[in-house]
Amino acid sequence: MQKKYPFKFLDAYTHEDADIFFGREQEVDTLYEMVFQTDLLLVYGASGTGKTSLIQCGLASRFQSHDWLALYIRRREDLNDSLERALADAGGTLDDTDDDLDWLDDDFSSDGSTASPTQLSPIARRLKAIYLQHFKPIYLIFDQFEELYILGNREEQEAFIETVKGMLHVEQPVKLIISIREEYLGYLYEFERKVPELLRKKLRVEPMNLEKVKTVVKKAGALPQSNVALTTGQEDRIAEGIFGKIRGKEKTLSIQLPYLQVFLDKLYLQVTGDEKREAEAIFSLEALKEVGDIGDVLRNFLDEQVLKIAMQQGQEAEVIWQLLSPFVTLEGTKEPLSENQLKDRLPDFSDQLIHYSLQSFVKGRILRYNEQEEVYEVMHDSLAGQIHARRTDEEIALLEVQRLVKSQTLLNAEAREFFSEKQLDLIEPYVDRLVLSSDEEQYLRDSRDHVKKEKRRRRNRLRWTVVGVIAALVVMGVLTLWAIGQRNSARQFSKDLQAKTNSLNETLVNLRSEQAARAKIEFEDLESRAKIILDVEGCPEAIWHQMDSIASKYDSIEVWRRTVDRFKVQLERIPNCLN
Amino acid sequence: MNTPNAILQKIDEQTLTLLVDGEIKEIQHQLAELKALLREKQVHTIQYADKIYNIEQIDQANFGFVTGKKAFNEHLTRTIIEAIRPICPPAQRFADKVANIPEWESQVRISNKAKEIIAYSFVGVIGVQLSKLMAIGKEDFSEAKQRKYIQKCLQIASYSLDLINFVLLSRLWDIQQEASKALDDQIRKIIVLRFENAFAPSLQERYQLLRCLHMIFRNHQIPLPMDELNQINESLREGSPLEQLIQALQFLNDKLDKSQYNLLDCFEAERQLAFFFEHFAFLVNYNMASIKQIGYREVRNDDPVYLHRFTALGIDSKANVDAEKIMGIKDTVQTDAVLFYKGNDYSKNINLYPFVLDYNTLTAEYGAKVCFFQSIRLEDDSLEFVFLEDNSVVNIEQKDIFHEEIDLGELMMDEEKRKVYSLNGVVNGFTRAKREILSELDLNDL
Repeated sequence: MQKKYPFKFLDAYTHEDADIFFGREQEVDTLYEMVFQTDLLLVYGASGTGKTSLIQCGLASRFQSHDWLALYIRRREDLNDSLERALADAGGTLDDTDDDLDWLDDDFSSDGSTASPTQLSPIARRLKAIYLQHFKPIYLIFDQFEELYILGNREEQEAFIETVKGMLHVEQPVKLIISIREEYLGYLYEFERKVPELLRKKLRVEPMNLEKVKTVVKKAGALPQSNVALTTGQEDRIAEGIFGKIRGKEKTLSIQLPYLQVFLDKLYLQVTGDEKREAEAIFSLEALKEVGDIGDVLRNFLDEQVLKIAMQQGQEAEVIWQLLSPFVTLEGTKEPLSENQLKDRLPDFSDQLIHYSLQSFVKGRILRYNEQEEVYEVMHDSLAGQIHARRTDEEIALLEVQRLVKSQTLLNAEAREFFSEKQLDLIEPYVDRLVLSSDEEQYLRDSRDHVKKEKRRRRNRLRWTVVGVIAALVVMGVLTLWAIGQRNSARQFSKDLQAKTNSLNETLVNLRSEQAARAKIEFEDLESRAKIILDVEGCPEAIWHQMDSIASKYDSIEVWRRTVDRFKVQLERIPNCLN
Repeated sequence: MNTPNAILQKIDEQTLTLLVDGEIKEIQHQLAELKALLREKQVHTIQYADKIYNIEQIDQANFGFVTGKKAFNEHLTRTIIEAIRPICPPAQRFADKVANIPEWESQVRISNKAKEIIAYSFVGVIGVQLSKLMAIGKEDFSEAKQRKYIQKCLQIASYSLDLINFVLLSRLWDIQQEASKALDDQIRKIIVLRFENAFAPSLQERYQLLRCLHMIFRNHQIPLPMDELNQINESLREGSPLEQLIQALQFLNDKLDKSQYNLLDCFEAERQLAFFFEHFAFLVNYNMASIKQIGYREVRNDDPVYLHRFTALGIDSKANVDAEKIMGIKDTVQTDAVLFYKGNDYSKNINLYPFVLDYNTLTAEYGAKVCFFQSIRLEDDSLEFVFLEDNSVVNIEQKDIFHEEIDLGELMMDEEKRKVYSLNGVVNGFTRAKREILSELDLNDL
């Protein structure tokens, strides 16, 4: 029997690897249960926890071939296009040809309630066509869903959400599984708002803890068809040793799956030296010790491979890093590229160098080639993260500028705004090194023109403002002078008025003094006359009224008021005197 | 002794080309011509592609299957459409359309439409099973495909008999609760076996149970819960064609167990299943639903209604929150019920619980996980149900976590306890059903 190498390095496990996929039994059971509890399932976890393997191998192996039709969908250039392509490839063609079988599209349902295919949305028609070809429940599996948010734009995201809403209500059995890195869960807010059940049923894929690592290592070693065995009696200690080596000085309770896989591969090569991975190997504690203190196993792997490829190509290692850089996004995740796209991104590199380097990257297991899509991509996000970490600040700045230009150009004409002057200031130093599409170049040119026009408009506006200000100042000066004159005149006028007022007041005072003097004489005269009448027991009522009138007129002279009041008391005592 | 082989080299519409006895022979594309030639050459086996057939096994019905002219499910599709057309309007409309198309079942687009009508017309779980058979039929030829195909044919027949038996048992349980009918020993024995069997019953055991339950209803003049069962009296007589077909299917099952099947057995399984549905075509008249939740609404001065939140069971059943339907009617319905009803008259239903369960309802989940009672696990008397989607076994056991009197209010607040309570209810319900159907004494009452 041909023995099988039981490790996958950085490849995901698939249905064919079910016999070597260990340590995930419980999660697979949970996942399998969940697909019967919802039509939309979210699988999330940190990078390197094995989400893809859990679905493509664990879940897939739980189904019989007639129980599920799995369509794996990655974003590529646009998620909506990729979905359409996947559906079309699975038999979901929109057959609009007129033939004598058109009646097959008629509504045959009992109550005529079923929508005829012509009334269905294109996606629903595709799903119906697929179902009729296979009669299996359709599982649409969106792997690395974070790419929609890292590489996609708002329009693409919204279109996809609308499609999902529609797919959840088609008559055929269709289920959606979305796999996403957990640090991007927050990006799903809008999606969840429109499809509330998005987060209702979800599974978190946990990193590998010691128990799981033990299961993987021990079961891989115990498998009869495996070309790796563990020294009998040392199984647990070997597994613990592997876990400890990968964990290093960080005393975490878990490790990432890619690290385990790369380490196990390294250990195998250490034991056998067989790059074809056909020779039989026995993992022992001694062999484990010989691996030594390995540090960051992924970084070391990448450094070694880059150095090796640099030597093969007769290039500096720095050149090789530059060739790898475009395959990684600014966030340190994978970005699939075709050979031509890479050539476009790296116009200063020869086609030959690019071509041969790509072959070396694939051979060195840094990149994977997808024959169907004809694109290359980094083997795993964890490796992409390592490549990102090697970038210089200058490289990162260039990528940021590149993204700025790209993302703005991708927006539709109504939604986008021209680059601002500040943005252009940021872009201009890198323009020569940017690889721009004709659209992007045009957009940049338009932006420059726009900024120039804006500047001119601003200058004109400034000029007119200055003229306006000067004119206003002149007017204000004239007005000020006039106002000063007016003020002086007013002051003089005021002074004259004051003098006149004073004089008038003086006259008035004098007048009032004379009147008062006369009133005093009159009041005293009336008082003496009233006394005389009282002495004869008469009633000086008329005199008292005159006195009261004078006292009321000069109310400040209290003595008159008191005199009037005293007389009043006296008059009131006289019968029939005061009425 | 090695008998000489004839090798079928080329097949076209008009002719068959064979290498026989070292000679190339071209004959008309007819079974009679082929048999005559082989008889003349004293050849007993014929090879086509990598498959060898005994000429005695080939008959007019499976000849098209051997020559590749007929594909998997073609015969079944045509037969079922013919069988259900008088009672299924979509099938009738389809049949009218294809009336003038000879061998329409061999034209993929037309045949797919017919298969769709069949899968969507048959009662809930059986429609799903038929769609699985269609899916297997469409797979590339392989050893696994042959096995799966025969297996699925047998399962569909088994599940259909189970479903009818559970309908009868459920109705009988209601009858026995109202006024207990005496059952004779032979009949009791068959029913007890169904309740106490430690293994999944065989097809013949299922058929025997159907006969016996049918007899109870007939002998006691109890109206049958499905009108159409009145029509199958003849079919249930000893030695009837239906009994023979059950035997034929059982024979195929034995061949499957011994891995002694070939391509012709696939056709035989298909033919027998098609024949089976000629007897049970009336299953297209029925629907199934799983009750998820029951609410109550009575606004002041308005008539009260019960709100039934349910999931329709079938190919188009969905597991979305908003895919559940709500029916507001004056009558309530039993909790955790799986309903079986005719047409759209949901109110006149038969509750199949605890023989048929929606496990997801019991565990307060969305979507449907329909399970049929299969057997008893002897170690602990727990119940084994089969999940129809993948034929896996779901074990339900009584858990003694409720020591004191149960406070329902408190229970409903604790999700885990509520699940255990619901699952315990299945075991209790099953025990009670058995006791009451068989009029057994309740030992707890002694």
